[in-house]
Amino acid sequence: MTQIQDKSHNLGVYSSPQKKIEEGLGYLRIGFEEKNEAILMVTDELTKDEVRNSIVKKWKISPADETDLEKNGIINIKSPSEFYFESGIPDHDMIVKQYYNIVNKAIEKGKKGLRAFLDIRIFFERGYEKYIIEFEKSFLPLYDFPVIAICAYDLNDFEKLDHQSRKILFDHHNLHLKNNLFQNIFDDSSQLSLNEHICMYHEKKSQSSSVPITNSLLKYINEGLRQNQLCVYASIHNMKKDHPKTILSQISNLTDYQKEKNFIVVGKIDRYYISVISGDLKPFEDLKRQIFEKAILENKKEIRIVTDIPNLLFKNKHFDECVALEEWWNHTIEELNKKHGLNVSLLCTYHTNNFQNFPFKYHKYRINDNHSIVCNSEGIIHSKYFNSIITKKEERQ
Amino acid sequence: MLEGNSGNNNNNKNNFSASELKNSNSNDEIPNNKKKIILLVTDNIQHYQKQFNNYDITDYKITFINWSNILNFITNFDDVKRRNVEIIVLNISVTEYEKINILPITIKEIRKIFFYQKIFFILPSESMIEKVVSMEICTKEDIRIQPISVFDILDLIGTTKKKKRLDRLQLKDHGMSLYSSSDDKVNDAIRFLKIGIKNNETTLLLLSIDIEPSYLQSKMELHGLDMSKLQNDGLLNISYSEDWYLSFQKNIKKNIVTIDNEKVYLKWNNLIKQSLNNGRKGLRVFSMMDCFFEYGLFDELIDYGCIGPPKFNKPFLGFCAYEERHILQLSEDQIRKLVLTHSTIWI
Repeated sequence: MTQIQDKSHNLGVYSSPQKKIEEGLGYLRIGFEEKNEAILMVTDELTKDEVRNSIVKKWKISPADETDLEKNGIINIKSPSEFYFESGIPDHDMIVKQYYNIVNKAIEKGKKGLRAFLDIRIFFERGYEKYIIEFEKSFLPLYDFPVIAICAYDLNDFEKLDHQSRKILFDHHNLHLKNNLFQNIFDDSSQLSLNEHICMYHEKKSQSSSVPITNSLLKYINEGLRQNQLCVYASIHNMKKDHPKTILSQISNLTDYQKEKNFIVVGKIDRYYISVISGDLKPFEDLKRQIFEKAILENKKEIRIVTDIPNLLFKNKHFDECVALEEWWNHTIEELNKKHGLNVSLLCTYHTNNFQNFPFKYHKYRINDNHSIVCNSEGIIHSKYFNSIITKKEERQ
Repeated sequence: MLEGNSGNNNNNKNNFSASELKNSNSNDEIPNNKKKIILLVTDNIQHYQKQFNNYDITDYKITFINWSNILNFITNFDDVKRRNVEIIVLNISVTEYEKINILPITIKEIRKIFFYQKIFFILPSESMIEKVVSMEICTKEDIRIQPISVFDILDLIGTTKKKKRLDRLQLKDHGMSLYSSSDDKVNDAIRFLKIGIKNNETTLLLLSIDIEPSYLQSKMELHGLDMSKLQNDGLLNISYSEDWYLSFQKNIKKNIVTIDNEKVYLKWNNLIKQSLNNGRKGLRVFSMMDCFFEYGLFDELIDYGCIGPPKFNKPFLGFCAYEERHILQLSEDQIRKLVLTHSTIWI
């Protein structure tokens, strides 16, 4: 917020209506209280009265003063339908004219300019996605009149835009308030709390690609080892004779002794796969016991596990067995935490290529539903799951 | 792992410094000559040897046989080795149409030596599947498409150990499946009933309105089942889905069709109780779901959560049989909801 420049046209992307309103009102308050600016709030997430009540409550002004400020054009509250769709369809010139009128009135009343928070959701609701991109295109990142604006997009809507449209939005806004939504969760380990069950989708480069290690996965393991956690690598590729060595060679800054103590490669991995297909999870129960024993022996409280066995089950259409295994992991993470105080984070990697067609695409819902975080190979979280993650983090705090 | 190779498969482990967790059977290492055998019949032995030699399959070894040598090879297989053979994989390359045409004869010869072993077919393209299935030597499930990797071999091993799908269902499960014909539905309903009889569970069949009782009875007779006797013994109940789920009210202007949840739940509970009182382990229901689509009630069914949870907390097994054409009418979101309310899904 402090980086927002005067006369700037800014882009905000929000994961929930609450976040959008909270941030919007906070940003307007700075303008009103500290910068001598008039304000414009355009949203229908709250009714006009609800916006008024929030302002009165949080900005410490009386209801009577608020009414006066509205009459004088210092506080402006509009619904998106009246601001953008006054004549039923959006009219570029009419919107801009309204904008100028509000700015001019504010200046007449001795204000430095206008600070606006513009909720864009209505354009998506009414099927005007293309229009809003063209509309945004008509503004440069910096205005030539005294206005600071945030164009507020819902993450769900923003994700519907194609690459070209997003590029236009980025190019025509000065500051991009992405609210960590597009940050790599693996870049900042503090974002990755333990006891998470992460589903990471990544593209399989080629059929012959024998080393399925992505940078994010390596970061995840490296970070665990750096924090002296126990790291377990249960990849189906461990069947390949040189694979464990390849993995180890890619894990940096660790002595052999540290690797011995902290890094586990699960052997005879084929037995796990064969058993789970026949509905037998005993090898996994044994694995749980062995991880637990190793954690106790090495005095570890925190454990990171990486696996791609569910991915192979999914690829080969063993959907129910895949879901059963994912559910088993959920119970195991909870059990190790509640009974033994161990914090386990599990990263399951899936190839996106497996999810495109019938019947795979329908089973994807079941996979997502069994994970606490769903992200892509760059660690960027899938929006549909972002709200639940925020709630979980808030619960923990 | 691979017959005919140097046997230095484990050498790399000497250079490996991290801990290695093995599974429960790690101490019962199987000697190479006791490992189960996968016979891979191919004309491309070198290619597969080179590829598979990079991997360890713990309890299996792969023996390669050239197509030209297959009959000679298996005839001379000694008894011990023959008993160890678990899977036979026939890999047919692109140009071998002649080989495909004589497949029934080849299979017959193989079956003389290997009576029970599972045989899989690796075909060069999807377009050949129908032809091979029409020879009645295998089902679609026994076919894979090239190229294959060691992970496909692993999957074939796992697949041989997998129970048939209806056998995997248990009390408390909530399953669903798609069907393209009434015949398939009825056949599965009868298999479902047979498993119920074996498990000492009461079966309720909820039928589509187009299935005549006489047709069902004749189908059951083909499976050696006496429908009337099973009904008299309390092992089988039959009703039409629309009578079970729907309430019909006549209004002055039109007929109103609704789902009376409370009434339906009460009927389930009564039947579960009755089943337990009769000394059965619980109730299993094969429910044909067409009526919800015929009366345009699918929104209600999905949106009001009438379908039930993915797992039941009673001795009750629900299996919902949907028609493919009906599922295709649903929106993405409806399919998502539908999928998330079932624990076993065959689509």
